[in-house]
Amino acid sequence: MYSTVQMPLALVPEGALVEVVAYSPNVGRGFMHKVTALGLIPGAIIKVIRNHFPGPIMLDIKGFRIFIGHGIANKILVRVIG
Amino acid sequence: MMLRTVSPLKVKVALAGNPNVGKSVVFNNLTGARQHVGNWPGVTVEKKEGLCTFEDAKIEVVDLPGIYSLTANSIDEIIARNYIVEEAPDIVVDIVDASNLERNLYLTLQLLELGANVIILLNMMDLAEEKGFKIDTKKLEKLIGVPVVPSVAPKRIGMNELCQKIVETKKKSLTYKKIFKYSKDLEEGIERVRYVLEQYEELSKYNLRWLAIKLLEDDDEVKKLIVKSISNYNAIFSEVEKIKSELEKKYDDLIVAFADERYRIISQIVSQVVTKVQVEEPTLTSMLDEVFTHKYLGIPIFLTLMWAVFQFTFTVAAPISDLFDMIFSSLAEIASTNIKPTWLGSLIGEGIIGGLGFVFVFAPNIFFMFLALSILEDSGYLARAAFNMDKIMYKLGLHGKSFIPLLLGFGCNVPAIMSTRTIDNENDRLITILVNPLMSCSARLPVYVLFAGIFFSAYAGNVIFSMYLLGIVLAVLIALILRKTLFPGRPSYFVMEMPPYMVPTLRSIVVHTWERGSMFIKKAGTIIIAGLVAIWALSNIPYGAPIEESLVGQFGKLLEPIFAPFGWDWRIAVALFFGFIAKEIVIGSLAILYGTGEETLYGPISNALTPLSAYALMAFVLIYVPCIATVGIIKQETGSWKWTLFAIAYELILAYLVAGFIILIGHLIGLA
Repeated sequence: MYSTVQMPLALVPEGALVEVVAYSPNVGRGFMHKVTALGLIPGAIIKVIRNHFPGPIMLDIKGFRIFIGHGIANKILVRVIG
Repeated sequence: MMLRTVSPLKVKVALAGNPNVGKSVVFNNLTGARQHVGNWPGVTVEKKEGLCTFEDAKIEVVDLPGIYSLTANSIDEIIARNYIVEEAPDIVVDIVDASNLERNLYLTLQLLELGANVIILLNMMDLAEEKGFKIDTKKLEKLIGVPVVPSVAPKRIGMNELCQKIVETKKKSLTYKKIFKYSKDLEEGIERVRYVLEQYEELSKYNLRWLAIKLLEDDDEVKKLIVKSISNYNAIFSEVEKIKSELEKKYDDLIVAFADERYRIISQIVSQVVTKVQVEEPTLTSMLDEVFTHKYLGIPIFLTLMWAVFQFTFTVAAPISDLFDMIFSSLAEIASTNIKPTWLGSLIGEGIIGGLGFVFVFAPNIFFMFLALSILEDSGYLARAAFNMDKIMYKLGLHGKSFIPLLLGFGCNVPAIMSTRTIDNENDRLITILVNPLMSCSARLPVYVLFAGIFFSAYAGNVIFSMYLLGIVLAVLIALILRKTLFPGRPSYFVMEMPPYMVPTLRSIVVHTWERGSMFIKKAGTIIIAGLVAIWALSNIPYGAPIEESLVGQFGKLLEPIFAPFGWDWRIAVALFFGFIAKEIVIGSLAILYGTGEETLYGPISNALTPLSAYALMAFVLIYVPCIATVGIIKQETGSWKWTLFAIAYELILAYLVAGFIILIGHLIGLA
């Protein structure tokens, strides 16, 4: 299931492994500081545990679980790698 | 002979760490009961300080807020940063979750960057082992350049070693300040900015490397600091901009570039110190999440658990409540028959002991409710419940993080409103605070139990449940209205950590339950006693007169017309008036006003009300101002009398309207 297609994290199906590629062009510094501190930086590999579209998304970032709101997930672009 | 007095060694220590790493357990272990809770200056974030004596040293411990990084994007991060920069503690103990080393070292790196004298407490070693990680702490110590003390805080493992390290560090004036180098280009940029900053005497007390990095990261607080301390700040900013734009030819974004470098350094360290000794098998957390956050099962499971909490709260507590009731009734009787003169016997027996009895009968319910909520919280389940409810909350115009404060409101609105501090966005937070009193707290329960028992004995449970439901529905409606009118916009972004599931320790549950439950006891012992004595006094002046002619009777008659449309007499008007102090007083004061004990209260009340007017009364009690303590906390947390008065006003009006509506509907369908 290797793909070069970018999509917002909010649209990724449950169980998928994704790589963060970029953020939407219109994000601010506050957003950037927040997501980088959580390890959601370009190149990071994360697993989508739950996606209650159009609700929150639960992620596993290197064994650490968080959930993020739909708003943030829409602004993080990823590609599915597995 | 001369006595040699040695002044004790004083060490100032700050505890830092991510949320959910056991920081408060460590704090409690170190300081025991010698704690002081206040607020950080200028903000409403809780500040905990405590004292720990170890050998001949006095260690002053300050608990910093739980944070992931040291940016300037949340009030918690700014507090932690400012404390370390301005107060310069001797040592910062960085509490690290050993089972999540990579995530936690991000903060460690930033603490070192800031120039803090760091000791790492590598906590949750047991959990790391369970997950199959083997950590070479000696190697970690070498690579990261600061002491590492392994620990399991709930079992107090590692606490002595930590204290020893702290004292030794202070005695020998050791400093652990490792500088991690970024990529060549970034280092060059940092050096250039640093060179610019070095020209200014005013900045010499700060760590210039840190200021340089933060300026390159576009940090608002550091920019403010420069503006504040240097008159010609524009010269600095334009230099920095020049250096930044050169770096940005190489890196898309410097914030990401720095974060990337930090993660690179961390993963190098982690790859050398952590070995995975067993193959990954589904962990308990991932298995439980499969079920608890399931798309369709998640919410039914949540509702079932809530139902279980209520069952637990009421059924298990019942026999204990009965016991309290027996004790208080007999004490009251002994007091009023044996104490002379009669008026004093009456004050102590009927006023104080009788009134308190009515309140204390509900202490078991309240403690069990907090106990159940503490178990859900400490086990990690509440975060999952918030996840399940987020979509619904969002649709209602509420923030996902509003959920836990609303749920805690069922226990007591005071800690619930305090817990809204986790919501960063001011509008989201205000809405959550303003609707919180509609979540029916445990103090309102006695009122429901009494009236439901008298008028709806067969369906008492359902009637009480309908009150809770009514509160939720009203909270949702008011939140929607507030969002549409006073606080336009969408709820802000949010992120919430999912702590791993764990079996809560008995100690932490007991401490948690006691911290919250004891507020009820304190309230009962102070405000409620005072209220009850006041009512008793007013109802006995002039002494010997029939109660209708006493001061309280005259006052009640004054209020009676307001409530006459609902069929409530002057006694209820008085009880409601004093219920403003605390809802528990409503029942205690009815007992005084009818001049009876609990067993005999049933008779007069069932004569005074109809089922319909009793139901309206329950709704009124649900909605109108919960208690003085809640009003106080709303003022403290919003920092505004305007919003506090708004909360009081809307609740009174809403209570009146809803009670009127219930009576009206009742009449229309012929229930009267």
